[in-house]
Amino acid sequence: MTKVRALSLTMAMILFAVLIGVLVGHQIVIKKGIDQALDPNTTESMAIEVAQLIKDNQDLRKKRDILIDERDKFLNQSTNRRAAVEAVSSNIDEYGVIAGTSQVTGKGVVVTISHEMALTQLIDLVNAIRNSGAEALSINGRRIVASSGFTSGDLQKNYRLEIIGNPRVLADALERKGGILDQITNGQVEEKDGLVLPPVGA
Amino acid sequence: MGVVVTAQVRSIKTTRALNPLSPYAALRDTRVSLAAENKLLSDANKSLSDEISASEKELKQTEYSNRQKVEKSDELKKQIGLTPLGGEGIMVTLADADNNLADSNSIAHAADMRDLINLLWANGATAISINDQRIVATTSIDCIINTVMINNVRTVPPFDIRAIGDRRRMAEAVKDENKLSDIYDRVKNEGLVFQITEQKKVEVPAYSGTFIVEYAK
Repeated sequence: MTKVRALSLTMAMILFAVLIGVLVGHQIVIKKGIDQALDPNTTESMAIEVAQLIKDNQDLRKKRDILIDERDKFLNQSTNRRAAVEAVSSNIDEYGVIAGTSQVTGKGVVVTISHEMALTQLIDLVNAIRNSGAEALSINGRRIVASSGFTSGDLQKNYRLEIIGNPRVLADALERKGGILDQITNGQVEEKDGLVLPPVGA
Repeated sequence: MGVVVTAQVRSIKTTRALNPLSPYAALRDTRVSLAAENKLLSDANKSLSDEISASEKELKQTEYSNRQKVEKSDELKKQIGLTPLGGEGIMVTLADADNNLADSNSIAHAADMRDLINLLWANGATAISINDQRIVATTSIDCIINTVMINNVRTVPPFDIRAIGDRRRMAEAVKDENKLSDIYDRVKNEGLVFQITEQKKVEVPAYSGTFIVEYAK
């Protein structure tokens, strides 16, 4: 009888220990989740990601509308081949802007920098300009495209960067406190109409 | 009676959301729904682009001038990253140091990849991707706290960088410690992982994002 009681007691203690273990484990998991949620870095990182997703989805919706219009032109190509051909021509123009194969015009901003930069600063500046929504860029008259690589031979004493895109967005992004110009190099930003950028290799 | 009602109204305090977890939960839920919408829109655009490509093929079968136009469009698509590409090239792996005492010098940074990508372009790369994100004219590579954002897609180490082009020339440039001195200093002193292999065939995916041209004509 005593043995049975001792066994029951042992079993009860084991069950209690397991229960405590599970509860402690659960508490640790909850604490970890709360710590993560309260970490300003996590929230900030998520906020940036949400902002990027909002912008990305806006672009995707715009693109969807363009593609639907283009698809409809093609669908009717048996009756209206001219519209389909025009859609291809329009794509060639757009792709030409991105590839830099043609001269482009448009409004945007001009950034002037009146001092030397290190190669890494130039690389970071071009990266920030792309992040700000630039559609076309030239540096000291040289058209910059995806495959443009910079070497120390490209470094100069003065820079004039002509950037086509939304002038307000570009200016705000580049000039904001803690932004690229503030961080790595001083420069003046001026909104401009009628910028003319040469094709690659011109 | 009026005085009593006014006093009663004034005594009712507006409730405020003071739970510190609320902003996090709201952001997390927003991210989930935006990401789902992003996927739907991307899939819809992909499907529309496929339909248009099929129609372009049809158009190619008509007049010679139409065929030339479609071919020109195809060539430009290839040039700007809208088609997958394969060819000889190199693969580079960049990753955090394999030790528990990680600090800012022992982890891979967005700036490392910006320097590397620039060096590859300057040495004849014709197409580049990082963790399946094609590097195109609008790509920026940015550090977002402890992740890296490429083409608005969050990615983490190890970073698998693939470049198509003259593999010897690119490998020689990337192995030149003077050209990537910051990376090589951290490889020696902190154990940062940086491996280069030449490949007879490297494949890079097409750009899956969106080009929007509104201001440039």
